[in-house]
Amino acid sequence: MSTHDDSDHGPPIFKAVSSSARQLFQLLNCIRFAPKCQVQISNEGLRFAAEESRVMQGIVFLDKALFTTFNCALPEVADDEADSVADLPNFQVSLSALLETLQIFGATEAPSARFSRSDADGYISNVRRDRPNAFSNQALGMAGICRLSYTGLGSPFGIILEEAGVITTCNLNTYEPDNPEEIPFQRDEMQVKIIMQARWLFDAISELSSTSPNRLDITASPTVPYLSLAATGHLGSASMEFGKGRELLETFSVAEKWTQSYKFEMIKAASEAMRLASKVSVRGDEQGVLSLQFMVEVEGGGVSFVDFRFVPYLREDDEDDGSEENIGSDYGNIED
Amino acid sequence: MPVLAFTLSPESLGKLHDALVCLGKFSEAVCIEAVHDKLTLTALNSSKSAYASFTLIEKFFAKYQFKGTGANPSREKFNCKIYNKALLSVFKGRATDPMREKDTAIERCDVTVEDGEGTGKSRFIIKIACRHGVLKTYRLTFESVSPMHALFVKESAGNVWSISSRTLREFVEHFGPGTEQLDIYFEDGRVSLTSYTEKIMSGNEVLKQPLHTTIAVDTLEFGEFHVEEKLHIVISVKDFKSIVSHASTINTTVKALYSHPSNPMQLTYSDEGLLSEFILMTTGEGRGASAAPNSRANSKRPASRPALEATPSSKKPSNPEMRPPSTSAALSLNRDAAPRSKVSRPSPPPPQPSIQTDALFFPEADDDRRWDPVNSDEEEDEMLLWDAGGNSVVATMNSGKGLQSAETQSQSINGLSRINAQTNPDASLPQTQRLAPTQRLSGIRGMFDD
Repeated sequence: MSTHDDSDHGPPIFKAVSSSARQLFQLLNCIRFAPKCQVQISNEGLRFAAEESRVMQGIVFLDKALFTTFNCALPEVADDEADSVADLPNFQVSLSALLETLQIFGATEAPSARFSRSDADGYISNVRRDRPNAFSNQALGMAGICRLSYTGLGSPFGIILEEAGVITTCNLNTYEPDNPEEIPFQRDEMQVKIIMQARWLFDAISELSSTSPNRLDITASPTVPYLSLAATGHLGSASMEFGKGRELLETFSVAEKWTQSYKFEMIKAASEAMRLASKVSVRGDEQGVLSLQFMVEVEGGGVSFVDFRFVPYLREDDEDDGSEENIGSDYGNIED
Repeated sequence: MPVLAFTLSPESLGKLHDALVCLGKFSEAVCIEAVHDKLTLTALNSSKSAYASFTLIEKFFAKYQFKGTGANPSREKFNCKIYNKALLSVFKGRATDPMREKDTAIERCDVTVEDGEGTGKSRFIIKIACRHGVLKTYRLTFESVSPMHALFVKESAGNVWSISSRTLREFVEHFGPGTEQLDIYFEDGRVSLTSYTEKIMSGNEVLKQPLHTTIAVDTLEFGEFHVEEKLHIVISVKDFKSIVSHASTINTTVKALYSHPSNPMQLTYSDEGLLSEFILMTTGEGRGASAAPNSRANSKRPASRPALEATPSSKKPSNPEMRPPSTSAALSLNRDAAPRSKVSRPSPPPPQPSIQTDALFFPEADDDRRWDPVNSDEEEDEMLLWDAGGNSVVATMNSGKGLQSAETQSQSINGLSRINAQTNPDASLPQTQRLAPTQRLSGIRGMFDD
């Protein structure tokens, strides 16, 4: 990288100002399952990617439209267009520290009861937490300003938060980029594409989590029950079927029956996004890679996307350990 | 082929959920017993001092069908035990508030139980159909155990009162936070409900401050009232609160029946199709002669003994970590402390009532005996007796454990318990003092006057 020598002195290659740290927090909170995330700065915006064990990936793209000002003086690249992508500023940063910083002025309520939508808060619960709310600081015009800056390789990622005359400056250490390959999703071999309200998916996953399962089986079929999510835990098993596909599922294109299993905890890690988003596009390809694209309506108009990809459990049809297969077939029999 | 099949309307689903929440305050597992015309849900707490049961009669269900396997289904029974946590997560409280979860409102709920013994196909299957055709299916595993029922002999219970559940809730709201015991006392046309906590000392350090809250109620508040005067009867505040918090969700009349301290008390009330019955062990002023605890070995029902002993031990706040805390913390700690204190408690010597008078001011190291359940051994046969439903499998439940601890306790003579006292910080604590409430009130006044 050419900027290495003057990294400590030169003007920042990236500066952006947002009028709401809360928006950024909400979006980044969706991928908080990993301790660190990969940041890539481009002229279009910031891309945050988190991954776990190379089998789960979450990507948040903060479009420059989310910021009131967005300046990105990318180092000049010789007219070699092909290299430009690789030379984009790229680094890792601690995601938990970043989130902590963004909510230093209480951008959101403590994310404590994340999954249990408690029974007690009858009044609040009509509103989904973190969604636009008439009593938020945002709506009341109390929000502060958030400035982000990055000077270059080796320099910290600077965040300056300003609220009611109080200024907080945080410099987060940046780490060497670690460029994991993206989980490949074969768009041209797509077998399942379902667009539905993220709410349904959230409800389904929170229902299923009651049995504390290890594995989530997703089945999509062109006939009833269209889409079914099933999980087995030590207290029993549970399944959710979306039987009236037409009313629930906005887009439904499934050519033939498709069944895959995923680690439940991983899908559950995306539940923050399910709760926040308005719509989700569930896609599955031939290899069983699951892509969940969440459309999040950001306060003040506009939409952002949060993207998850999951690698399925290997389906060992003959040599799988007996017990799991038995449970699987058990379903079938009772279902009939 | 299902053994049992029933359908619940969203409304009764909400009631079932409330009942399960209430049962969950007694035990983590629920025993379900089905016969041809009713379904009974029961829970017995771990110290066997409190028993809760809800009977759902046919009217409660939209449809109820019990198919026995044999020739005479009307005399058959189906029993199982399920973790309450699993049931609660299925019957979440959503059904009760259609406004809140409009989109996922429940339309109906079908429950079937398949019992293929030995085939591994026994499941408690709950199918919940929601709006928009979302179908949730749960297949819960269950354990095939006969439930333990507490017996209550109505004929021997001479004291009766009944009161509206709403009024009762107002009383309960005044009980001090963190108090553990509730004394019910009647004199001169007034009923005193005293919730109190004993003082606990460790050396000079006060671990738990005494707290007494007395509510005096005119007997006119009660619907029916026939109670022996000047009779102290003490039950656990926590259990009582659990009951009242459920009863107050229904506008009903709670009826209490009891005889003497250390005999069980029964509390009942009913709603449409739902009959609730609770049996609580009581302590209070001892009446019986002081028989030596050793004579307990002669009992016909050894399993019932630890239940009685456990009554006070569960209330004994012998945990050194326990401070005068908020209610919830006290309750949870208390729950944890119960089994431990039960084990470490030395075998109690015969009580000496004379010490009681000034005990509040002279904490002594070794007066565990105060915690000895009142020595009314003559009447023991009327105490909580566990009806195993004529099935010997009962030992697989808590009674097995109970038997063991009964043996341990009878073997641990004082010498052994002294060793315990050295190794176990709990046991070395001076135990809570026990006093009749009237004396205690005056005692407190005197203490603050100094």
